[in-house]
This record gives sequence, structure tokens and C-alpha cells, in this order.
Amino acid sequence: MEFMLSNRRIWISTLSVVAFLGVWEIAPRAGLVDRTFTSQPSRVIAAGLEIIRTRTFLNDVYVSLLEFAIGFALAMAIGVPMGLILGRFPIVRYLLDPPIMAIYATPHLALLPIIVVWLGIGMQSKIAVAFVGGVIPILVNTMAGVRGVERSWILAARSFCAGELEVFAKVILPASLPSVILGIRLGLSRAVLGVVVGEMYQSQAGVGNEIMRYGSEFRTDYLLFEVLLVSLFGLAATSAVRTLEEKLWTAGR
Amino acid sequence: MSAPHIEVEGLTVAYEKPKAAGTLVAVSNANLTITRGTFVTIVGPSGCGKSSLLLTIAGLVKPASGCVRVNGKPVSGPGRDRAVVFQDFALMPWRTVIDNVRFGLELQRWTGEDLTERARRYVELVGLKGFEHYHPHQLSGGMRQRVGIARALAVDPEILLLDEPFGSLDAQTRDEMGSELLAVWEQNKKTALFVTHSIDEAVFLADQIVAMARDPGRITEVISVELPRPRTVETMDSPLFIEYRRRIRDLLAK
Repeated sequence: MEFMLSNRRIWISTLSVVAFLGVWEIAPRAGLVDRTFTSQPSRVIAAGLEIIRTRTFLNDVYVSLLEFAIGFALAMAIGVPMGLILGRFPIVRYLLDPPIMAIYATPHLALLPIIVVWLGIGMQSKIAVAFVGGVIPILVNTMAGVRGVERSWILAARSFCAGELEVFAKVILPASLPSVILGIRLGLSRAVLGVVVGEMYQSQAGVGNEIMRYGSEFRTDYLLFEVLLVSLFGLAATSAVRTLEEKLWTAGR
Repeated sequence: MSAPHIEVEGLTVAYEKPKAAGTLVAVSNANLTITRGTFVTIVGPSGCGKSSLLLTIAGLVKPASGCVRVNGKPVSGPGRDRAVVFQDFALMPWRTVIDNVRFGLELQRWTGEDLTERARRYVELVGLKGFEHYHPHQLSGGMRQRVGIARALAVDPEILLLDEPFGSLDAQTRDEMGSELLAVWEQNKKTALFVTHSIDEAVFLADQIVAMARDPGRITEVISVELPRPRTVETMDSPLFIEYRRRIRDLLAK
């Protein structure tokens, strides 16, 4: 029964995608819309095949991925431990809460111009924007996870003579893991956004750079293929984290 | 008579009130001596400091003044000689039954076959064989507290400290758990300290009842219970049991 339901769900979802692509393909052919503005699935595919064959394509993908990977790795490496410490020690939290909340409330893309002033238009500025975008949700959610740890779990650990490090390892870390993963998932999309918009703003290479260039040349087919690349990457990365998240929740609750 | 196992001397426990409204005296000048191998219940109304007294003996709460000694040595924190069973079970929801029982063993550096074997044995002892790989949320309240009891017993403490362990269970489960706890206790007669606000429970389990009163929290009387062991559900119908119950009720009503 469950199998049939999920099967039906897949069919209906597929149908909506196929219908959308069909309308998108037919409408310009029927003269309902101007294909200069809307493009068409077949043209996007053709543009994609052409882009893939260019010399700069691999370099653009490489630059964007590297910027994302470094920025986001830094965001996790700093966001998780900071979140743990801030969640566990109120004094540190009181000290750092105002600046963190201020950054949290600021759209990270608004920091782009100043970051470019500091770091230039190369990869460093994109890494920095990806980092700033990713680190705050990771930190804030990790902190919330730690603060949500039941006092009695900590008391139980201490009753068995656990020291502060063991309380961290045996209680706080596993208890807040679902929140940490949630933060990572939220931070991920903000980091991708940071890289792409950063490249669109000021850059020398990268997928965002290409999106901007094709846009200014009115080449919608090429532009949409690059957008498709970014959204496929975001989708793949987010669902990977979500799968991990679901595994943790079913194992843990 | 052997040397006392637990001594509480001039113990005062105080907490900071929230919003800097001064301190709250939870336990005031308590004195108590507990003999090895006895089952002692602490009974009293909410806010009489019975849990505070227990948690201070556990080493989880620091006294404002006075002291607790176990085997003649002052308590400065939690120790391997004591294990606690908590009112809200305090089980780790991400751990299975068997892994929750392993929790204390892991923290007290049991390893290998010893650890695995003890965890298995204590899960079985509390009647949860077959539920080893369930998570706490899949169990009833009574079953969860069995896990809590197994976790405490598994580390082989000299003293078992139970903080209203059956407080959140329904009346029937509560009676069953009481009988089963006694059956387990009879096997090795560890010193047990059991906090409750149920007079029936206090009389049924105890060799000695410590009665407490509030404002401020203090010990008012210690009563020896001479009911024969092993005790069963029928014990609760005996005239002697009813007499004890009346005495405690009058005492707490004062």
C-alpha cells in the first residue's frame, strides 16, 4: 500500500514537470510568447552542449565549486564549535550575542561590496561571502540545539562521574546533532547564494560570472543552462544533507 | 551494628532564587544516619526539600553548610559508590534500551565483555529482555523507568538513590514497580534511599521512613518500619501497614 502511494506520488510529480516542459517548448513555437525572452527546453539543451565544449566551462565550474567548498568548510569548522561553546557557556553567549545577532539580521549579500573592497574581485571575496552566509545559520542552530539539551540528561551523566568533556561527547553533541545538521542545511543554500551572487557582482570567472555575461548579451538559452547547473547543485547538496538528517531523526527519536 | 553507611550532619541546602530575589533554603539543618543495607524512604509534601537532600547525597548539589559522609568520607561530588534514578527517567532518546543501560558503564570505564555482559544482564533483570533495541519513545513510562533502574544498578553502586522514580506513573503501574523494585533489591540489599510523596509507597518499601516538612524544609521524624519481608501486595492490607500509614499521615498533617 505504501509502495503504491509513493509510486503514485512519483507519477503525479513527474507529470507536472513534463507538463511544464511541454508548455515551455510549445508556447514559443505557437507564437504565444517571444523565445528571445523565454527560450525553450530544446534550446537550453543545445546551449548546454555548446557550453560544455568550451574551454572555460570546466574552469568556471571549478572556480565556483572551490569557492563554495572552502567557504562552507570554514563555516562548518567555525560555526559548529562556536555554537557548541556559546550554547554551553552563558557568559560567552552574553558577550558575543549582540554582534552575532547583528550579523544574523543583516542580509549577508549586503556585505558584498565591503568584502570586495577588502579582498578584491578574486576568489577570496566569494569564499568570504559563502563563509559569512553559511556560518551564521550553522552557529545559531547549533547553539539552539545545545540550549535545548535536557538538564536531566546532563545531571544523569554527571551522576555517573562524567567530566565536562564527557558531558560534551556523550550528551551535548549527540543531543544537538539534529540541530547542527539543520543549521548546515540552511547554511548551505546561503553559501551557494553567496558564491553565485558574489560572482555576478564582481569577478573574473565562475558560474555566476557567466550568468551575468550571458544576461547582458541577451543570450537566454545560455543563461538558463548556467542557472540550471546552480539549481541542480543546490538540489543535490540539500537533499544529501536532508537524507542524513532523516536518518538521524529516525535513529534517534 | 556496623558503622553507618551514610551520615548527614547539620546539612543546609540553599538555592539562588531567579531574578536575584535572594536565596531559598531548601533543606535546613538536617541530620540523618543510614545503616548499610537498609531501604530508607524520604516522604513529605512538595517543596520540603526531599529531592534536594537526595541530590546532595548524590553529590549533584553542593550544600550551603554541613556535610554528607559516605563510609566516613565527606562527599565532594558524584562517586562510583552511588547511582541515581531520576524522576523524569533522564534517558537519552537517541540511545536504545541496551545503549542507555551501557551509558553509565561507559562513563565509568567498563570495557569489552564486562560492559556488554553487564548491560545485557541488567536489561534482563528489570524484565526488558526482547526490548534491547527499542528507543525510549517506544516504551511506556513504567518500562522507561525500568531502564533507568537498570542503568543505575549496572554500575554496581553501594548506594541506590531514587528521586521520586515512580512519580510520573499511573497508580497501578506504580504499585507493580514498587513490588518489582523490592524483589530486585532483596537480591543484594544495597543501601537504598527513595524519595516519594506517596505515603503508601513510603511505608511499603521502607525499613526506615524519614518524614520531612516544609518552610523551611527539614526532617521532622525518622520512623522504623517493622513489617516483615518479603513484602507483597497483601502487605498493604495488613493492620500493621494501615497503622503505619495513619501515623505518617498524622505526622505530615501536623
